Amino acid sequence: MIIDSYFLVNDKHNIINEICRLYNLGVKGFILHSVICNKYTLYNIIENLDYNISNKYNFYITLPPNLIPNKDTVGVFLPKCLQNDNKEILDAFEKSQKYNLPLFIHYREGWHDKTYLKLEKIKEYIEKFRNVKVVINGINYSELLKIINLFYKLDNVLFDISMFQSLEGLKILIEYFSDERIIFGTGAPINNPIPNILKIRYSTLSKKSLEKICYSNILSFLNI
Amino acid sequence: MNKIDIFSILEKLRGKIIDVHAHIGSDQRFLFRLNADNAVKVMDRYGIKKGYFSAIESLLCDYKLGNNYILDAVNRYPDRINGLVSINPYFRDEAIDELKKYVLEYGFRGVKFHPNYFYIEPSHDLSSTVWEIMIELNVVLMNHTYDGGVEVYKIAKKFPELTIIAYHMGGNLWKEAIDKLYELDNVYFEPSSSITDPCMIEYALKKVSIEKILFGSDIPFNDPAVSIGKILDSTLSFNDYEKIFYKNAEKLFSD
Repeated sequence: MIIDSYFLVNDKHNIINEICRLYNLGVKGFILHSVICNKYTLYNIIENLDYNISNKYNFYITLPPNLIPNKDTVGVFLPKCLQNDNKEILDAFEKSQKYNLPLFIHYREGWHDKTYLKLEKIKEYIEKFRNVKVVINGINYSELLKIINLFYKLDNVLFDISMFQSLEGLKILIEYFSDERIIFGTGAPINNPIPNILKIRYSTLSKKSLEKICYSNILSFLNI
Repeated sequence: MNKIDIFSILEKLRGKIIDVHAHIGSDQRFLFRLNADNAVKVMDRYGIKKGYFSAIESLLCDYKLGNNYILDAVNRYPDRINGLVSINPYFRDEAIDELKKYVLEYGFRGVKFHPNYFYIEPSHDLSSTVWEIMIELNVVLMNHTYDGGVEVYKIAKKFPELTIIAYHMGGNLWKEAIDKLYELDNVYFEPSSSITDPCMIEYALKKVSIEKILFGSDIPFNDPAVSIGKILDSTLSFNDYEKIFYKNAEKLFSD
């Protein structure tokens, strides 16, 4: 079984089609994160998903901090559109702490996009909010040394592998962070999910490690 | 496309795939170490028959040192590893001698060129000397492109007899690279990179003939799954997948 812990809800892609495609590729659960900050647009999309696919597919939703608290959410999501404002970032951590919800941070490596929240700044917030559990989504090998350097000892930080592209990169991450802190994600439909499906399919990791990465870590992380 | 399609396509291609962009060597910025033995194991895992390799040491350390590593790998795995000779134009006559030696004596079929690591544009006069010799030797230029194809465009126009593979298909500027280069008969496209935008190959195929697209992995910087997944993300006939995964490369290199 695979759970996609990093599926991005947006209004530019056919989300239902992509969920169906991933389901056919073996993905049986989805953690949906919104990259839309407009709550009316977001609620429309979620209602549409609920109406069309909730009977067939398992999905869970995180929401941006302005929509927290919400009884249906399993976490807080910090999309790029909120990352230029320190108040919004602080709000995300405070809401995560207050409502005991994990925080997912939408991140991209500095090589390809320098406009996202910096890893150093993420660490500063994590150190202030030590009881908030954080997933950093979208890391890649170009910042591997920095990731190890900054987060090696922070066991409340997990990483998704949606953008971690290097050969044997997963093994290196496990070597430093253990297979308990790594989760499977695709970044679909904004990213093409097939590379990550193939990485798992052709992985040389043990079955036990793959089970943790593909579903058991995220299930226990979210208490679902 | 469903689960069975993707996995069965790859199984049908097993043992046939040709990778036109691969490396051995070390890069401690990313904790990479890949020797020839392990590279062949990775190729086996994904069903890759053979790869065209250059050495990371040629880019980061000394182009000649890296070429030596590749020669050793080719000698150990002649059926699996084909050599690309890395050429640094700043070394002028020495670089030309290196090029001739590896092509004429060792049978290497292509030149790896990385403008960023060598700190020189492909369109620079010092580089042009190398391209002129390459045309005489009838070898292919593998050029790193993360600039939207600007530099490849200049040399492809200036040297229409030079065959160029645009490594990374422009990188994060892949659409710009396709839009800029698609009309040039002497330019091929290889889509490896960390960028996994949806429908990259579909976009390319709206402008580029399928015969001009080649599979490349860029191991160890990328897992082969990344480029394989980009190609399988597009819905093509099996015959078209065969072209991209190996037939186009066979034709280009007369394998």
